[in-house]
Amino acid sequence: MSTRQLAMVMDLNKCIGCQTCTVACKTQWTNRNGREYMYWNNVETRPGTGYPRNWEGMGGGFDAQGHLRDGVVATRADYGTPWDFNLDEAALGQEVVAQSKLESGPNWDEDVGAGDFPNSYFFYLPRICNHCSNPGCLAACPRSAIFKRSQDGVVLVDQSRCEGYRYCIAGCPYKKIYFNPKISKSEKCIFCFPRVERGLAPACADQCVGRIRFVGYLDDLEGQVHKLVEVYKVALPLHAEYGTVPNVFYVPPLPGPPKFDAMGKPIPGSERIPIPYLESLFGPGTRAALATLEREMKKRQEGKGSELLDLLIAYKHSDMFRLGKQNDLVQLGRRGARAVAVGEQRP
Amino acid sequence: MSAGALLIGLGLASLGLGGIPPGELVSVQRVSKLPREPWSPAWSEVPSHTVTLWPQRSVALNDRTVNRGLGGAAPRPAAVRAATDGRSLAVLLEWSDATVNQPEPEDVGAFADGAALQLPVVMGGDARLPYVGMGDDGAHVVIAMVRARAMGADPKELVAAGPGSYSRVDERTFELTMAHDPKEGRWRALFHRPLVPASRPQGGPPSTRLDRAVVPVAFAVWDGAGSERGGNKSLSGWKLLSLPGQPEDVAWRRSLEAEWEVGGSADPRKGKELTDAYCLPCHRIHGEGRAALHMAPDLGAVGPISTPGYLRRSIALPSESIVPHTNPNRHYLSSEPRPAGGFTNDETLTWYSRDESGQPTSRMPVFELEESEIASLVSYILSIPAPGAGAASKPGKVKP
Repeated sequence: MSTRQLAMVMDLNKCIGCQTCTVACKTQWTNRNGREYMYWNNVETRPGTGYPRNWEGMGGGFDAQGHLRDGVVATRADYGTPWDFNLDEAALGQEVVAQSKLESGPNWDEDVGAGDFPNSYFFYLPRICNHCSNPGCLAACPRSAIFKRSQDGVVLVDQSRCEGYRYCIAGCPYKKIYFNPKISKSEKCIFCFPRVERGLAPACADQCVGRIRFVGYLDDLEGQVHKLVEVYKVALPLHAEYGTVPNVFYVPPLPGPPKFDAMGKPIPGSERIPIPYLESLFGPGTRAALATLEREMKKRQEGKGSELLDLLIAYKHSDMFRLGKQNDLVQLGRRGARAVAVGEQRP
Repeated sequence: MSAGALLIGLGLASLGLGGIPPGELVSVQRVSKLPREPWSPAWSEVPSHTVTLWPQRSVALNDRTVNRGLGGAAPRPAAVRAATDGRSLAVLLEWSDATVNQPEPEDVGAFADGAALQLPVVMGGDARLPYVGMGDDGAHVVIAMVRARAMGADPKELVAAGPGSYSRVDERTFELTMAHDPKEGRWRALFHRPLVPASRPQGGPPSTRLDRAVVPVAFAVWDGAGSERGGNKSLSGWKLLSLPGQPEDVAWRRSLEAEWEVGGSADPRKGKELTDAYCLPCHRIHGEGRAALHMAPDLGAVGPISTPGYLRRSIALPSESIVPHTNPNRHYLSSEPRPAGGFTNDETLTWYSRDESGQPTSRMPVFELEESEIASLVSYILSIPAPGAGAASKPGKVKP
């Protein structure tokens, strides 16, 4: 069986932090059955502590020799609890009142960012399981309960083998695998494999309002994902130094407007988002990626064509997702997709 | 020496299990009615025997919280009482644990206190004792395990062929309960089982029969406060239960005596020299030594839980003594493809390789050693003290 790898690219220049992707995943998979506290897709504000809070300090991944690094299992408090509101009463005209104690939450530091006015800065970082090629979770499991599919590289938990030890949670450096206390087993983003098997993009990508997500096979030379990652090299892995070879890539956010001095005048040549901070996330390819973006943007501004910008603008879903043998699968729309799913219609 | 221990020594000598250290033997008391509750006053009639459980250090796992405390973790003394009414066996394990860890479902990062009892699947005749850490390919074990949960104890019965390999048994033969006494700060776990279970699992192998004079048994304890679960636990070596009034099996008795025999010619001092020459090029002891890190299992962990027979086999027949999943690089063996760009695991740190049929071959060479040299090596390795063993013997949980 040949080995193929599905991958996702997220253009952070377009993410508006609307959390539609979060809600899409939540209503699809994690609004029930012990998964309520899990956000398989989360969008965190950067700079920030992330979800679970301080996940970058929780270990996992591999060291330079390839040995699994020790990690910790996050506590319930680290994940935060979404707050309850009196929405039934509010629907009838009452004032919306929080029913929970407002201390911490899964997105507690939203929009806080870093820096001082007028030079504060932040951007949004949506995160899902990276379906790594060298998964830390898979390496950590003493029961070999985690496996990686060769037909698309999706990493899954074999629920018949999982015993809920949670070494996988310690082993994932991105903390994107979670413990379901109702069934005492670990669960994680499944890349919506029941959807991708029918040529539909994962729910988070399909619902994205900002159209920031691209989904396809890394070896599909005509596909957007391959071009963004391998040809233009503007799509970079998050924390490649963790050693897990992630398959979710990010187009880094442009550093933004220049900083302002004390008199309110722009400081020429300055960067609002410090490039070293972006490099700490996306690695040494950051500067070249940003330079490529700026160069291609300049071409368009001068009236010349730019394939890269046409790619990134993502006019249609068929420009964003390449999952079926033919492109027309993704143009079916909702009714057509349902017909395919129940076997009534061949694409 | 207490009257109880004296009684045990005399009783077992009459059974002819001479040569096996008395500390490995647990007499089973004949009673008319087996107590069904862990804290039943009837248990005070049954003599108690001390068994030491050692923090598991043979299989390295990746939980930072556990590993930070593992180096200095002290052994855990436990008390074992065993009784039989001729039809069933009841084994009571008691250990000290001041905190009760019975996690609520919301505590997704919390772990439960628990205990387990392990038996060989095949006993009698010339059957070999399985590897004490959950069995091995050639000799399977049955494990009865109970964990404390806020919504009630969670019992499990498993059949295992080595760490990471077990499958659940749906029709359990054990009844398991555990209860904590806050005044004493101690847990008791009660393992109750018919000697010959009435039902036979659907289509499965015959249930292990316990109607024999000697039954090997091993124990494990988990302390949830130390994030213990799975392979992070304390475990004992094999102990031998002596059941009164059961048929004698001479071949089995001889086989067990041989298992515990170190060898008259054993010289621990020569053993130290031999260890330095043959073993330390690859094996570390308590993480120290000239061998590359992770090149081979640490020898500081094996003494307290191993039988001399197991150590002999490990030295003389390394490829037949491979315990699956002890390899820290188990997820990448030389026959498997590596992902492009991933950090490569060092080939020299792979403990065993598998051929196409899955047959493992140990990377440990077969040394040309005489029996007396092997005996000396075994006696030296058995004498290596576990870290923390010299520390205060006050029983307690693994320090986080």
